[in-house]
Amino acid sequence: MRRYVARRLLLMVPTFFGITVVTFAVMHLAPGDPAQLSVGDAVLRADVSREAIAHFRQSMGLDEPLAVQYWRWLARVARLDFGTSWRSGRAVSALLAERLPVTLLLSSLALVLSTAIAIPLGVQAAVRRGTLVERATTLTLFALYSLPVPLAALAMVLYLGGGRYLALLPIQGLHSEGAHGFADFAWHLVAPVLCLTYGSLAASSRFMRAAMLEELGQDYVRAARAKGLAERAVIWRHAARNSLVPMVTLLGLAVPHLLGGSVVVERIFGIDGMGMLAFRAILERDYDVVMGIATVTALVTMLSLLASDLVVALVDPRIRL
Amino acid sequence: MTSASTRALAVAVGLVGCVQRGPIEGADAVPPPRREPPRGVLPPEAQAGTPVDGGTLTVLMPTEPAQLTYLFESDLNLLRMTVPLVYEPLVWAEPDDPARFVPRLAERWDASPDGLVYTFTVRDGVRWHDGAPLTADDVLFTFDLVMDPKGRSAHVRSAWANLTSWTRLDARTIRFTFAKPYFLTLDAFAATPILPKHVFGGGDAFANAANRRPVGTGPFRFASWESGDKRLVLERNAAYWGERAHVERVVFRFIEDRTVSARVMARGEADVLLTYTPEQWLRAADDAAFVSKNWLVRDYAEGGFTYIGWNEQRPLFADRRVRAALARLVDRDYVERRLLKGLYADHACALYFAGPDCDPSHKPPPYDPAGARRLLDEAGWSDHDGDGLRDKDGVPLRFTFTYPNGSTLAEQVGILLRDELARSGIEVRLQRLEWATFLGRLRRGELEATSLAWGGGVRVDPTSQWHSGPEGGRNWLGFSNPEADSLLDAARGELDDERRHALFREFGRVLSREAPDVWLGTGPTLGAINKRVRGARVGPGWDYARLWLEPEARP
Repeated sequence: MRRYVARRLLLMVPTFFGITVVTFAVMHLAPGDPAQLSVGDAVLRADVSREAIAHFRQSMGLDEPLAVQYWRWLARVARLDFGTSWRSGRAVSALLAERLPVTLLLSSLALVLSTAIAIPLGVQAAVRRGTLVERATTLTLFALYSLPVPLAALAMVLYLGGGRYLALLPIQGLHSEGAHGFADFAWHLVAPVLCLTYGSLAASSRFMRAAMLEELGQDYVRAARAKGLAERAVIWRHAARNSLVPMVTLLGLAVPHLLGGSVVVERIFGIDGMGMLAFRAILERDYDVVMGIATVTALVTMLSLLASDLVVALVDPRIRL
Repeated sequence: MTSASTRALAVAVGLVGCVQRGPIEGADAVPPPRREPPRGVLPPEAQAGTPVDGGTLTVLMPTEPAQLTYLFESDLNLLRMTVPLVYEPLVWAEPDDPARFVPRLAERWDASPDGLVYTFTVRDGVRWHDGAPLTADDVLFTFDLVMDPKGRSAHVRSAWANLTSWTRLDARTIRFTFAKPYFLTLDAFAATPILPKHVFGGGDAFANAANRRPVGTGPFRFASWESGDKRLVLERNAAYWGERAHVERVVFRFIEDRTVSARVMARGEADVLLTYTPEQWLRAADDAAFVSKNWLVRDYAEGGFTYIGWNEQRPLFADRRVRAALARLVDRDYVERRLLKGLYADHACALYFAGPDCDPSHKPPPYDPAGARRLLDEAGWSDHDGDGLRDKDGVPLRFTFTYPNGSTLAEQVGILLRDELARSGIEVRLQRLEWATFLGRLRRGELEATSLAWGGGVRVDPTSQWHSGPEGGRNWLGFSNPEADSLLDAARGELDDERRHALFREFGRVLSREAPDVWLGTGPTLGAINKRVRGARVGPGWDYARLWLEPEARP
């Protein structure tokens, strides 16, 4: 076990380099550069914009070979300095510290909610396979799965956000102006969390259903039934518990997505999260910000994969590391 | 003025909410506009009454700035939010007449008759919001910062290309010396807000904390701008040196999605929204409940123009006959009615279309496919090999139309162009690029054809878009004409208004003859203002400090 963890941790080092080198190269080799963008389209004279571009490139070290630039970045990260956003002049670590909590809160709420619904839904769907109820649920979930998030979010704004139709939900930000109470905050979370939840709900409940079906076909289930256990106990205590194993792996894979945020949801509901931060940073070629996000995401992904493997071993005694 | 087309950037970066991708029907089936669009002029009662103090004015803005110092970032929304509310320049334009300037932080100024020497006396008794007095050193410091080639002020600096020296004569006097006279010198002063030396001096000004918590001299002081809050709050400066503002607080709320901002305005949660899309604005105009509570605004003072441009450095487009033919192949009437919803002002002028710099007798060429085909044949572009595509010397007539991602209009124009030109044996390929890539390729002169919009204003200098020398810093499509260059040079240095207008009209005549672009007209600012807001003046004189809120209508 300890050797396994040590080996996995060691493997992270080359993986980390691989991820950061690729991200760095892709960002820097993409056409368009921050110097051009910093000068924008408002400079009236060609000589002034040429000069400004040259100075900007020099001050950012963009004239150096890519390998040197990467090395500089690595040396800074080793000192836990993620650099500065050229657009706002703010430290990347400060930006991450602001945005990560918001995104983590939203997406973990969505993940917990969708998992909490998906597990019983998946189990029921497997048990009642083929019934009318099961088919109707599947159809509904499939429809939800196919519903694009921008459409759902805008529909919520238009039909539930007041103005012409119902004014049920707040549609901007995470609190009303001047209000700081928990109830106000929670109320503001409803629409964005719903938008983040419904899509993954379909996917994970189908996944749960498949896992459950597989377990229900196993010999031990037949044995449990044969020894006269109540059907409830067979399903929930035996089959469902075992079918959670693939679910844990799935959750492990979902953890990195918790950090990513959602561009669409954040933009429409006016929430400053990681999605918009990354999206803007890529559009603006804000290299330090992109690299900062990539580094944090890479580390969290690797750690959560390791963690989910360890949890699987705990949940399922058949697996030995 | 740095009247740049930052608007184009804002639109392109801001990922326009609902990109319409519906098919555009054939150009021959142009339906008439539903009805004449509303004029969007503020009625007299918008100005009526005596100003009352108090209340909070909420303004919706489409983009959140990265920091709050306009000198470090070319962002027109940022300029409107902070100048002259927080930071003030030396002079400011008269609300009724953008060509007349009044002293602001300067108490007075003297300009030599040749326009080469300006001496400003800084107003006595002005204090920064932190209590420190304003002196000539602040002005000097600001110009040091702006003129520093290593600084981030290229967008401001480029308007000061003729400035040779700025000298402090005494604690309140500064002298500016110019190499050449320039008719927009005072406009440039008005676009250069003065920064406090005691706050920004020493160290990297761009890393200064005041870029997030500005300290100015204006009628409003900074109150808050929390990250994640999506609001910039300014509060009235009770110790303001001049006429105090009426509203207690101005709140700028940042909502990027245009559907959402229109909805927030419809909910009555905001007082001012000036960034409607044509569709949204027309829909709002049809909504009786909305119109009963809000005034619609439609204003062309931002000037500017939307166009399809050809890269004239390419052999194909270097031929004037080809350009003239292409201009005759674009059904501008269809574009105007269908794509621009009858809201654009139609003209063929590179300056402010309703001003004295334009000759209204210059009309864009008519839609005339037959004439266009004749011109193409004349230029040698005929279908020699019978493949349905015109060619000349074995080269088929084919080019790529490139447009930035997120520009709905440019995309629709591209589709129209492709379909229309195909009927005349020209192949147009469409290419959509993400903004940073688009800008880079545009700058390097790599694009063949594109459609862009220039931001403008009532007083503009078209030199940066049309001059073939270094003055033409935004002449990315390679227009090059010696006659136009010399007319622009003469006009810019001409301080006599009448003579300069004549030179610009002459320049307009050269443009009409050369047909460098297909003119699609000038788009208006489309907005709405809650009826509780009074004293609003749409256009160049727009000033939040002059607005007040009707008390009985206050929430």
